[in-house]
Amino acid sequence: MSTQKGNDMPTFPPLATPAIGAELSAALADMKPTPTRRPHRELAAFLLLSLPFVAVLVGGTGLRSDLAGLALPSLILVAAAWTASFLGCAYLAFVPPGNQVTPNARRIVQAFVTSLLALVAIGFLIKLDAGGRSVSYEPSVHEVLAHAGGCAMLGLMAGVVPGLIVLALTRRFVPVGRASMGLSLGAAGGALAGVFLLFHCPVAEPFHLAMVHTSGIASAALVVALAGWLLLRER
Amino acid sequence: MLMKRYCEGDRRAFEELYAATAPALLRYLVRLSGQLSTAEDLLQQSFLKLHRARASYIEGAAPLPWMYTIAHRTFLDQARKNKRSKVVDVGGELPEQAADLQGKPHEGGDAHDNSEELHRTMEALQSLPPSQRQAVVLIKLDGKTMQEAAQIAGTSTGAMKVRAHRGYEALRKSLGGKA
Repeated sequence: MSTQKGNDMPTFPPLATPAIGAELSAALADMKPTPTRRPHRELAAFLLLSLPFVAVLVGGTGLRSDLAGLALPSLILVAAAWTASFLGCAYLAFVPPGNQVTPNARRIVQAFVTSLLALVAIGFLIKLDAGGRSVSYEPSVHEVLAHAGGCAMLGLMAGVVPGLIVLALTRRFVPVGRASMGLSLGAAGGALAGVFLLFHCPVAEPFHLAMVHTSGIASAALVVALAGWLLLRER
Repeated sequence: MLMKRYCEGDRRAFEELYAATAPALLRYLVRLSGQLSTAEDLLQQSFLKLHRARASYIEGAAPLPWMYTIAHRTFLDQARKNKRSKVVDVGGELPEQAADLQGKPHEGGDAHDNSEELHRTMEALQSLPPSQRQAVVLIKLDGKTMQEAAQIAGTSTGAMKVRAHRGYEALRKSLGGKA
């Protein structure tokens, strides 16, 4: 058996490269100059458009009634954590690692899981309670479920919108890496929804803050990842 | 530089890019699909996708790993369509003279033995899960480094090492310890 030097696999016959096919030739015939991606510019546009999106959401649904009574350092810390998750996930969705074209799926999954765990931990550990002005309830299953629906739904709805818009805009020209891009965009959207919920929802229960508010990040990430995979499949 | 000129609408730059990258991509697709005619078709589809997606190229980035990823995705889409990519007759489709990994004819050796061995190897490759097959093809056959292969597959070098090791062990087992 003949083997490749330094490799114990069999050698392969030489292959003649086929000529450019008819369909490809036709596509090349009317080729026009095409501006290429500028990831940092796209990221900046996404971030700039996200700010009015949150403002519209908060403006439309109203600020939380207990905002003035919350401890400012806690509020800033929690807001910073959600914002950092949003920025990190958005960055990974738009900006591939140096010298590459496609987003790095592994880094995206790591960022998503880290964000999720960190935000759950923060929800349990940092108290956001303005005494009698915040909404408190017995942490029974019935009460938890009764207060969860609205925030979970708002988090999901607010979370999927930015990701789906970006996916729809990039559908035409993203041949690979779409599921991971969707996951990252969904996670960014979910984190943005978390910022919105922080300024909208007056519930002070740690379980609600840790599990229900973060459900938006998880569900939006999964929905947009699935949408990315389905929308751009077999292009 | 070629990609930049190509994106600026220079057809000649595309032709140079095609001439420079198509042989490597074709070899990769033959090893994945096990059939020359299928690989040639996948190659055309991959370049068509590249052409349609040229707007998503980032200036200064290395195009080859991206092109490998597009080719791999095109193969997976095709395999999904066909449910499973199967070897029909690799020996009958490929030229009989052996070559090294750069495609240059191989000096010496028994062409018939190699053809049989190659046929068995290609059949064994098709039995591997796609991720292990990709790892074996990229590292053992295409001579990519772990880092390059991981970049193409969109995974970590550690995960790529595991896939390559498992794939190679499965291949060795299926070839009776000869791989």
